Amino acid sequence: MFGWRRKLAPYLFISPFFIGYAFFFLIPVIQSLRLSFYHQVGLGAEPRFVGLDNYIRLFTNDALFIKSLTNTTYYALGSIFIIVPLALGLALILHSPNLRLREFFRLFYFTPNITAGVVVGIIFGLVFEEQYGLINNLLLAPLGIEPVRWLRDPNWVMPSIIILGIWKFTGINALYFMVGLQNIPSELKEAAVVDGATRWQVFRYVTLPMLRPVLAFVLTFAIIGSYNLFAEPVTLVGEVGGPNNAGLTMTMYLYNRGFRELRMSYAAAIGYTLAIIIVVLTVIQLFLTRAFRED
Amino acid sequence: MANLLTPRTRSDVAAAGYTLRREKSRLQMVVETTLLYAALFLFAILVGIPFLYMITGSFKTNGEIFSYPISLGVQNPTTNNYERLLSGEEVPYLRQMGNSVIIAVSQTLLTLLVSSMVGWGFAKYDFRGRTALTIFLLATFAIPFQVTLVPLFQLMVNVGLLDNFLGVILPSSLSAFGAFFMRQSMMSIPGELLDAARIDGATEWGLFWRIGIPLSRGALSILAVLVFLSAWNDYLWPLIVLRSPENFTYPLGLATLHGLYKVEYGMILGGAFIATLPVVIIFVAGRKQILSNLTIGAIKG
Amino acid sequence: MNKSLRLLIVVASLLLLIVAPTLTSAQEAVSLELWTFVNTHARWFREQAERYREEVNPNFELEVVEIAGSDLFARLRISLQSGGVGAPDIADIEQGSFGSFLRGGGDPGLVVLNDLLEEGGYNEQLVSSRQALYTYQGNTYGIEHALTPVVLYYRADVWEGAGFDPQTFETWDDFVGAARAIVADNPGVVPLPIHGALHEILLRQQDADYFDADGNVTIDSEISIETMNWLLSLQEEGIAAQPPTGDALWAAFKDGTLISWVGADWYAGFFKDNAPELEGLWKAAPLPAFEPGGRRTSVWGGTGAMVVATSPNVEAALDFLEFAMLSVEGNVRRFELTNLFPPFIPAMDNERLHAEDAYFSGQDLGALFAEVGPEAPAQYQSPFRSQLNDLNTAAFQDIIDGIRTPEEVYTEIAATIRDEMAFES
Repeated sequence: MFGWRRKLAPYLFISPFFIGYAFFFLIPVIQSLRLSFYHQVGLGAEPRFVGLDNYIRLFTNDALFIKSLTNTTYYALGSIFIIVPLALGLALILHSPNLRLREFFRLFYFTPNITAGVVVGIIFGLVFEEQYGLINNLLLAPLGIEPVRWLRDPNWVMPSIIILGIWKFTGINALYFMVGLQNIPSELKEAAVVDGATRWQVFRYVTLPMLRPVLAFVLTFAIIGSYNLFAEPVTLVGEVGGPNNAGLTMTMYLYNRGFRELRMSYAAAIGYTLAIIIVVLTVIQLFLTRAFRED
Repeated sequence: MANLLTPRTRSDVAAAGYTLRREKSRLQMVVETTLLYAALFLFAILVGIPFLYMITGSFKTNGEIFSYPISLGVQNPTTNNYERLLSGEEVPYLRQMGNSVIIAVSQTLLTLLVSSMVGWGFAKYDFRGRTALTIFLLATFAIPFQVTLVPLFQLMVNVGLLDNFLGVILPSSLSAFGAFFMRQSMMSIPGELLDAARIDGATEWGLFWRIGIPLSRGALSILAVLVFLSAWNDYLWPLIVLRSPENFTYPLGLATLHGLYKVEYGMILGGAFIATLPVVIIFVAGRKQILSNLTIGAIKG
Repeated sequence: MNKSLRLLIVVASLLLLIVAPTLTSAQEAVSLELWTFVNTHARWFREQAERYREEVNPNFELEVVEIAGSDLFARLRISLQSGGVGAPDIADIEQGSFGSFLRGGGDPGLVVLNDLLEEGGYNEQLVSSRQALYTYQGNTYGIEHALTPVVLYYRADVWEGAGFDPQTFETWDDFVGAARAIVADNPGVVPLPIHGALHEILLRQQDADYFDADGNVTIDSEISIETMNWLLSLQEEGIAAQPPTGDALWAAFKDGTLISWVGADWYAGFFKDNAPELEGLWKAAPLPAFEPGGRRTSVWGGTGAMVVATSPNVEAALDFLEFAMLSVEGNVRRFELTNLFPPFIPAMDNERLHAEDAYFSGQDLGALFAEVGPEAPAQYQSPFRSQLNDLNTAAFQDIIDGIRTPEEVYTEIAATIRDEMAFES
């Protein structure tokens, strides 16, 4: 008896979203996708159909694109293997019921997300500066280590950006994990403890599996966020990505080509290449964390 | 004796489990706890310093902001930045804040509603095309915004939403992030609960509104904070859509203080600081919701 | 009253009503929208609108919209790409971004100002080399706001304390000689900071640039490579060095590491703002020339006011622009608000441009700028300028660190740009 209502319901629930999506998103997406198969430069110039030329050129004749690709991937790896585990650890600690001042910590770890970009630029510019910088003077010098040219040596630019990323994104990812941790029934953990499990075993066999959907979620958006990284590198090393474009991410490259040099069609091709890469990586990641299998 | 990392339980049997762990000496426990708190504090301070700098910097002149070594103390505190900001002469700050409030609140409410609806649909129902739509959703979210910027602008022009708050709110309320976030959270609501309610005569909408939403309070609160934050600080899209200065949101106004020949750092910091207050308030006020553990555990028990 | 008299009165009143408006003000209502990213310009434009109302047309309205830097250009381009929807009538465009409006060989969507400038005889009254920034293939699109004369700012106490007076340095050799002596006595001090724009500033001082008047790439020219090599040799000697950026730059000024700076007139404002404790210690002198009698200034920066071609009020916009930007009063007033020296020669010796500046030891900076201003060299525009700048910025560190030679880098950049030019035509 509930049959038809129950069958219809999901479509009704998802329709506001997808109708809006079709209108405000799909149409522009299709238009720009179409543009990526043309050649259009400048204002009011006539577009010329070129098929896959833009895409081919990206991979065969565009050193800057390849550079932005490797840079962004470098950052994504840092994000996945440093930021996410740190966030998880932080969440576990903050989740502990014996912890006092949890709210204080939570608020403090949240502040990077509400600190104005201007401030981030001033402070981190000073943190990473060669001669006057905080890291070099307060951390390395007392330990007798040579000053590091964080923002002027191409090899250190991406690590600097990753450090900035850790500052900015650990707290917020920890927040997601905390939501996930709350959804794990404590009886399961209690039962394990009763059975004589160690802390690590509780984590490995109870907590982690139950966190799988949250982990998949966090990793997915870590990947998407990493490949869309724009503001932070610009703040640290400028629009071209610093020495040898070491900090140039794909969206920065897209912006430069499209909005500064007015090569809109080429920029569209960059954008869709980026989207494909993200989708592929995300699907791989979801497969690896077996998120589609719901237990 | 419990330390931070030991799960706390209520049953006596579990208490007996603690005795199994007495291998750790009291001293070890204290040291562990102290180290942990120290690490947490250190991290908190490191993480929070820029924020504190923003606050103290708003009371400084440019000259002091650029003093070296950089310090959190203020030598010659001045309220000049705030006076100029709030007087509205250089930037109609208060008006723009008002606009921001309207836009951010509307966007948050709309996003929460739409996201929870679509999240519910994906989480609680098995329908044809679900997997395909999920992947599709994910895929379109992967496209960088700059790519669709110009066509979207032209679309806004065509439907007459230029220089209109709705032009900012509507496209931005479609958040794939929100959809996935709510889906994840709602997935943990047991199907049996819903079936039981159905037998009791609940409508599908009733299930959503009376069971799904309340049980997702924690996630909704977090999403509300995140969406509000994103809408509040959004710069690029309002920049393109809003045309008349009276309609600008506050980030647009503050950005103009970053001039070519003179940068009003103090005013920018002050403006940015005031702008963090609503977010902090929402964050702190919502913590009860975020903390509430109204999920499976409570219901099953 | 009889019927015909009444009729007469009605007809007369109607006639009067029709004729009356033309008797009072012959001006139609004009409403313009202007975009700028410099908030002192915004104030100035509003004042000029006020003056225009008083002197020319009381029915004139100007809405000034302030938008931050690069966002203004992005917004303007998006509007122009959509056929001019939402575009203003007048816009301030910074010289660095103007180039990309010329991209694609198409119409930049801006009104050509050649006639306006010719007819009013303004070409002789403006420092014409500045107009080159807004000119492409013979068409001039903008009017310059700022002369941007580049001078040598220096720590008077340090140089004079060592027995030198930079006011007397005729050539760079004089400068280098003095610098060597100072560095010998004060190791760690930097007489010549090699900041990112120094190379092109020095090129322009020598009548060269990254592009020539026809739009060809010239960054790989002899003089360009030589100049950079010269800077590198100074670096080797310890006289020149790369300064820090951001907050640390000001730290380096304040702790006395940097004792001079090659900068334009607008840099004075930054000194006053960010390093007030150094007040009274600085002075400014003309740049030392490369050969005796050579040019003693250069240019760096600039913003042009332009009229958007899709505007329905082009005539009115041109009229207002002429009134504000090509008048002595307009230029003088703008200097008072912005401290940017005007490129308008008749305004240059106006006494309001000349005051003693306490920060610069009581010096009359206006006199210095007026002295070197007319010599200001040209900077040529190109649709590929911003792309070249991007490539140059990314490679700068390699050059400074000696990883690649200027010749290698500049040859590569020039080749890349030439490639792009070919690809796009």
